[in-house]
Amino acid sequence: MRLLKPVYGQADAPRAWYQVAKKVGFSQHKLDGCLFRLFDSEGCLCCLVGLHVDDMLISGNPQSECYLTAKKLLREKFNFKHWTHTNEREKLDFCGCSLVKTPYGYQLGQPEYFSKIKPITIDPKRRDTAMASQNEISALRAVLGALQRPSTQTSPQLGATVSLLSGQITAATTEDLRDANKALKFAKMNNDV
Amino acid sequence: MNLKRPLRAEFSKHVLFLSGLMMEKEAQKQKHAWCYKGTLTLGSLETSSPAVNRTSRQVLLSIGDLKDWEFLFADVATAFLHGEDQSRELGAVFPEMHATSWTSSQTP
Repeated sequence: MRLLKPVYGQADAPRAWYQVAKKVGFSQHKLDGCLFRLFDSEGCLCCLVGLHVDDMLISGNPQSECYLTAKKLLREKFNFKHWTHTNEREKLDFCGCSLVKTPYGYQLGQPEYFSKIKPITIDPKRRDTAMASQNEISALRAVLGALQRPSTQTSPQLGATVSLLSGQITAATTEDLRDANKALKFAKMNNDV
Repeated sequence: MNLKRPLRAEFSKHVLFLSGLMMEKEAQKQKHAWCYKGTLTLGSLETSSPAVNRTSRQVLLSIGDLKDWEFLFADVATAFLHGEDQSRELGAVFPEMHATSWTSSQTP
């Protein structure tokens, strides 16, 4: 049995797919190889595509013939599992972020992601200065690791807290564990910022 | 069939290999799975693949919203199978074929 095409799990499979995606006919942005643009015959921008492995966020001018043709060709070239229009759903999901249209623009958030992060269990009677156990340090790492991604994506307000607490991991005390839980609570309460 | 150790075979310069029924030495637990060890000797193989960054995503959303364009979310099914053809010779040898040496001429 011989593999003719890349399969999930192969180290070079994402690259092989990216090489194909690059050649679809869109113009690649010089500063971001995963932002593709489409210009019509007059040189006007009519479509933008953000590619995140197999997820695409497409924005285009529905009045442009060029965009409509490109959209049709794209659907013919690839087999799509999801093809969701903003009019069809209130909320779109792109790379774990929810995208909601509001009267003021688009709101990005990760409420589902935050809801899955569990706080660290701490005995309320413990002193703040008591050193954290190995299990607690692992739990702290897990919470901070989980908060790291949204701090760079949708919740920059978490950046400073996560960064400062990350520096305390190896010598963490109960106070640091409580601070991490507070940061998580804050993140959950303000995930719509 | 000997299940005490994994059946493995290498058959190309670039590597790869796999076996059928495998048994984990430590756990002694039987596994009914194919293991594609495509990462064993990657060497100079290019594996980098970028993803859209946050700034680009914000630019896309801002331009689309300012121009009142439509937005679509699309997810390509089995995207990797749309990728370029294999640059390496990769495959799997069935346990009963293991005894004989594998050559590319044996592939169907």
